[in-house]
Amino acid sequence: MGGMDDIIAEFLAESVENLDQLDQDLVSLEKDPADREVFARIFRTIHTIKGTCGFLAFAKLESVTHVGESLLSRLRDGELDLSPEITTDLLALIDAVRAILANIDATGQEGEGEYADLIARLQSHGEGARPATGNPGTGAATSRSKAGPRKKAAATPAKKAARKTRKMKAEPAAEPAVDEDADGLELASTPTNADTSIRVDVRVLDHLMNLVGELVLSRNQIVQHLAGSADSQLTSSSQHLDTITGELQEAVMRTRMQPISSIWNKLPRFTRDLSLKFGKEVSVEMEGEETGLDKSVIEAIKGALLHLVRNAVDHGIEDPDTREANEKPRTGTIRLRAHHEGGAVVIEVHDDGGGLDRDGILAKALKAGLVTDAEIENLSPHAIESFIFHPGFSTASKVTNISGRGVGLDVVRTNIERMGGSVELQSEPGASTTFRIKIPLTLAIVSVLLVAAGEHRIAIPQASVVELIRLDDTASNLGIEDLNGVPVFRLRGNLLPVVFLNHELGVQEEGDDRSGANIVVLQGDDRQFGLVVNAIEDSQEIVVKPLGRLLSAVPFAGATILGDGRIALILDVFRLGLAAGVVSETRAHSIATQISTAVKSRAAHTRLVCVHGADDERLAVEFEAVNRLEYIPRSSIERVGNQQVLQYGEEILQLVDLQQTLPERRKEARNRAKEIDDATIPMVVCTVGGRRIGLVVHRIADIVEEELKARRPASRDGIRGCAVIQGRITEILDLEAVIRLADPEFFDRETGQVQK
Amino acid sequence: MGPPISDTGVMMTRQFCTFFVGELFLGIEVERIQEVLRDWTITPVPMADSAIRGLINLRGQIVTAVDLRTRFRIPDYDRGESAPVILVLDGGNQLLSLVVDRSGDVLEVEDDCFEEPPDTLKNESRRLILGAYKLEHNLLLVLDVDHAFNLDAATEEA
Repeated sequence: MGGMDDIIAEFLAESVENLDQLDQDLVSLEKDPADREVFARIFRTIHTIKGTCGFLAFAKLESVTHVGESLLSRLRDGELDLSPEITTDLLALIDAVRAILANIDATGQEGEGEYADLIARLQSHGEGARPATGNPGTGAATSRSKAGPRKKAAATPAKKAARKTRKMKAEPAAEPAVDEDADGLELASTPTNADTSIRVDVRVLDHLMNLVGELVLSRNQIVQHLAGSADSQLTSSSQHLDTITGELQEAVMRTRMQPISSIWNKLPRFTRDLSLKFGKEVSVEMEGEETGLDKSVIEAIKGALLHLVRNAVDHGIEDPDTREANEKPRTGTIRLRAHHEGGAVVIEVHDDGGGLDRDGILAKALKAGLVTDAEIENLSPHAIESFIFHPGFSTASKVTNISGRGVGLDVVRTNIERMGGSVELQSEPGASTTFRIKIPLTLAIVSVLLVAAGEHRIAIPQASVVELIRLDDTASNLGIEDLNGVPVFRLRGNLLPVVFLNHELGVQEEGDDRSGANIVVLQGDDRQFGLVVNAIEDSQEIVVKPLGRLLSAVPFAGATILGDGRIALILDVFRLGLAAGVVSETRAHSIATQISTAVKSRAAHTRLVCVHGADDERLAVEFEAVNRLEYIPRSSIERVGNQQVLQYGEEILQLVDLQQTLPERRKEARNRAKEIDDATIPMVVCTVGGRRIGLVVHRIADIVEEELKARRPASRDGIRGCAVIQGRITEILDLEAVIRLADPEFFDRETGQVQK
Repeated sequence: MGPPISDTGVMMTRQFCTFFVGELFLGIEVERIQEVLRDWTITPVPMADSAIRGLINLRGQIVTAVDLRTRFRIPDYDRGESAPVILVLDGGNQLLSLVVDRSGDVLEVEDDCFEEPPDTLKNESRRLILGAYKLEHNLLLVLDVDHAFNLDAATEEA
C-alpha cells in the first residue's frame, strides 16, 4: 500500500501546483482567447488530472474534470467562445478540484461535496446537444469504462486540435503526443521539469542553512586567527576555505529562494474575482516575477501583498464609468514590480486609480483627533497620506465585506516592520497610488549594531536604528534633561524620551560618568526613543539563533555567536520600549477608544511650549501655533528696514524679539540684551494668521501638556492670561498681540513680503 | 516513577551520571546526558529568570543553562572556587543544560535499593527529586530533569 500512497502524494503535490498555474492561465486566456499555447496548457492540466484520478479510482474527481475537459475541447474546436460566464464556471471547477484534492490529502477520501450543479452548469454551456436535464448526477460519466465513448470524446477533438495547432505554429513536440495518448500514459510524460528538479523538505534546507551559518562563523574565526600568520601554506588554504565558504553560503541561500511569482501567480485570479464583485475592470501586470526571495520571507509577506492588491481594487481603481469620464481607459491596471536593491527586495504595488483622497483623509484624521485644525496647514501631502497607516483608519466611504473595515494598513505596516522592512507610499491625486515595500532577502541573517552594556554584548537590528548621536559634555545644555522624572533628549527641537541600556538591563554602572556615551535613536513601532549606550563596538552581519522557550520573557529576539565565539543577545526594540514604558501597546486598540481618549485629553489638557524671558519670567506659547524650535546663530540675523529678518529655508522669516517687544520690561530688557552675547539664539517658529514669524526668546524650557488651572487675566499687553504650569506662574502669550506690538502693520502688508 | 522490575525477578541495574550541588549528591540517568562540559564560558542573560545562569555556545548551537543551585535554593556562599560543570541534555526539540558544582562518577545501581523520597522533604526539593538510591555510604538522589527545566512551576510556587 505504501507505493500507492506515494503515487497519491505525488499526484496531489503536482496537481496543486498545476491548479495554481490554471487559475492564472484562465484569467489570461479570458483576456486573449486566441492564445493557443495557454489553452493547450489548460487542457493538458485538466486532462492529466482526469487521467490520473481515473487510474487512482477517484470517481468524483474524475466526473468533474471530465465535463471540464469536454467543455474545454468544445472551446478549442471553436464550437464555443470563451465568455466570462464560462471562465467563472471553469474557475469554479478548479476550486472544486482543489477542494476534493484537499480532502484526499487530509482523509484519503474525496469528501462529501456534491458537484452535480457545477457539472450541469459546465455541460449546459453552448449547445443543447447535452442538456443538463434528465441526468443531473451524470453518473454515466463515472460508470463508463475507461475504454468507452469517453475516450473518443476526449481524444477525437484532441487529435483535431493537435493538427490545428501544428498548422498554427510550432508547438512543443511532447504536447500532441500527450493528447493522442489520451488516458493511459500521462503519468510518464507530463512533468517536464521533473528531470531537473526534486522536492526537498524545507526542514532539510533549514538545517543546511544552520550548518552553513556555523561554517561561516568558524571560517571567520580561522581567518581572524591566521591573520598575520607566517605559514604561507596555511594562509593560502584558509583563503581557499574563505572563498568556498562564501560561495557555499550563497548557494545554500539560493536553495531556499523562491521566485516571487509563487505568490503573484494567485493574484490575477484574486483580482478577477474581486473586480467582478466590485463591478470594476482591472488587469494585472507583473514585472520581475523571477525575483528570488527566501521562503520564510515569501510566507511572511503574502498577507500584506494580498491586502495591498485588495485595497487597490476596492479603493484605488475607480469604476469603469468614472474612469471614462476622467479620460482614462475603462480597464484599470494594477502593476506589480519586484527587484533586488542591495541586500533587500523592493516590491511595488501600483494602481492607476484615483490616488488618495487627501481631503477625505484629513477630515477623518481631524475627526479621529489625530491632528488639530492648526496643525493641518503645516502637514506635507506625504504626512497626510501617512495617516492611512494609523490603526483603525479607513477612507472608504462605505464598509465593504472585502476591505475597509478599518483594520489593515497598520497591520500591514507592523508586520513588514517586524521583519525589518519598510513600507512607503506615493500617491498622485487622480492618477495613481504606489505602495513600495522593502524587505530583507532573508530573515536568517540580519545586519546589526553591536553595543556593550557592562559585560553584555547587545546586537541592535540596523532596521530599527534611526540615527546615532554622540553625547558631548561640552554641549551640556543640549544634553539629557529631566522632564518630571523622565529623562529626555532634545533632538533638533523635539523631545526624545531616553532609556538607559545599562539601567534597563540591570547592569551596575561604575560612577556616574556619562561622558562619551552615545544615544542610539530607535524606531519602536510608532514611536522613536533614544537608547543611551556606553560603547558602540561594531556593525556586523549576524546569523540569528532562537533563544528557546526558557527565555521567552526577556526583551531579546534571539542570540548570535560572534567571530570570537562569544554570544551576543539580539535586542527586541519593541519589547525593550514596552518594558521601559516609552512605547505603548495602544496601537492595537480600536478607533473608538482612540477617538474618545483623544477628545478627552484635548478637552482637559493644553499643550504649551514654555519659554523664558530675559528676567527668567515664564512664558508659554500654545503648541498648535508652533512649527519648530530652532537655535540660530546670532550672525545670521539680518536687517531689512527696521525689522530683524532671517533666511529660513526658502523664505525670509521676520523675527520678533520677545524681550524688546513686551511692555513694562522693555527698557530694562534692552539694556540687558546688549550684555548677552551668546553665539546662538533660541527661536520659536510660529504660524499666526497663516503667516510665519520667528519668536526670539531667552531660553526654551520644555513642552508641557497640562490642565490649565488657576487662570488669571493678563496684566500687560501681548499676554492672554496667566496660569500655573508645573507649579509656576506662567504667562500665556497672545501671539497676534505680540506681533502687533512689534510691528503694527504686520497683518496689513501683502503676504509676499514675509512668506515666499 | 518507580523503577520497573523485570518479569524474571532478576534485579535490573541502571547507570547514573552523578554530580554534586552544594551538599546534595545527585544523579541523572546516563542516557539523558549528551555531554559534560568543563571550563566553558557562560554568557549571562540580563532580565532573565534568576534560575537561568546564561547561554553557552555549544559548537555553534546556543543552549540555555539552568543553575541547579538556584533551583534547589542553595545559598551561594559555599559555591566552590572551581569553575562549574555543565551537563548538556537533550530536551526533546532543543538542547538544554544544567550548571552543577562538580561532576562525580558514573554509577551502576540496583533497582531494589530505590526508595521514594520521604514526605518530610519540602516544597521545591520534594518536586525536584524523584527518589533516592540507598548506596553503601550515602544516598544518590535522582533528579527530576523535566521539573528542573520547568521554571514556570517554580515561580508559581514562590
